[in-house]
Amino acid sequence: MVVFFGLLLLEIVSLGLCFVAIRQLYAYINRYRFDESVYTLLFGMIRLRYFVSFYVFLIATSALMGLLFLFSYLRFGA
Amino acid sequence: MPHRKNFKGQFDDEVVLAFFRKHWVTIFPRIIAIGFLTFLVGLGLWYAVLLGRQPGFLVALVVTAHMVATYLIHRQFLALFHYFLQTVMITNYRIVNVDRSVFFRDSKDSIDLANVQDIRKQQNGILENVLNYGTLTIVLSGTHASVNISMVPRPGYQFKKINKVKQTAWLRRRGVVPAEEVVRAAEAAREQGGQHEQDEGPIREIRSAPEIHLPPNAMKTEEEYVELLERM
Repeated sequence: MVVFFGLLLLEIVSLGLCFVAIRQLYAYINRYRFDESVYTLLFGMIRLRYFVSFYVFLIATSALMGLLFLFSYLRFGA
Repeated sequence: MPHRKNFKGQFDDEVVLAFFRKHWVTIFPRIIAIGFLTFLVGLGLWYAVLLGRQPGFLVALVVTAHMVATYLIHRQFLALFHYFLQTVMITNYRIVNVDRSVFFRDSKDSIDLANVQDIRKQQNGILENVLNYGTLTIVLSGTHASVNISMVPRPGYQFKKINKVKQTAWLRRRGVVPAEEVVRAAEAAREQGGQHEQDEGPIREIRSAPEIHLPPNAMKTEEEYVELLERM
């Protein structure tokens, strides 16, 4: 049960932190916006939103991994 | 027309002429770390079901590893966002260094262009010269203090830009309008034709002016410039 609630709490906190971080980030950059150019973008092409998308993807994948592990543990391991 | 602000505390008539972030070398280790963490998450996803069937000790190990990985993912990405939000801006009044992160930082330093006495550019070492980054040292007038801005990308360009803005600000404080600005304003007004009937300022009369011939290096005070326009 400790593993179950521990992992569940971890995934909820992780997804919540991701959501709050992105909300804070976009609240700021929408208020104070810059005209980006090839000289200001990372490696001349990478925008902030690419990293944000990847962040969401990685956190969601990590949460999915945690849940798969949890169900497998409850089904076979516990 | 009110313009969108680029940072907190920007004056109404303040324009950001250039801005830059730190060089990508500063976050390169983070990008490598994210790549490694992605690999770990992928591996974990692939073997998640198998790992759940392991005995107690291994399960505890997997849970701990998962917690550490989750923490590191958040940490690396928040550092990346900090990199994007941390900017140095050169405006028509000052040089502003905004150090902002998503949760933990919100600080700002500004140096008035009137206080800038000298600027130094330093690029020491192979890496700095090959990857084109360096340090700008801004020496302040009146004191012996100086401000260092490190990891500046294309420091040569930023060095020239700050010097140029500083020179323009110096001329403006003495009531001198650089010739290139006079010509640019005249051309813009001519292109816009009669669209700005209500506009104030010296450029309103030159809508019907046939041509303005100024020598390339000429500099006129605003009064002289108005006189010139009135004569045309």
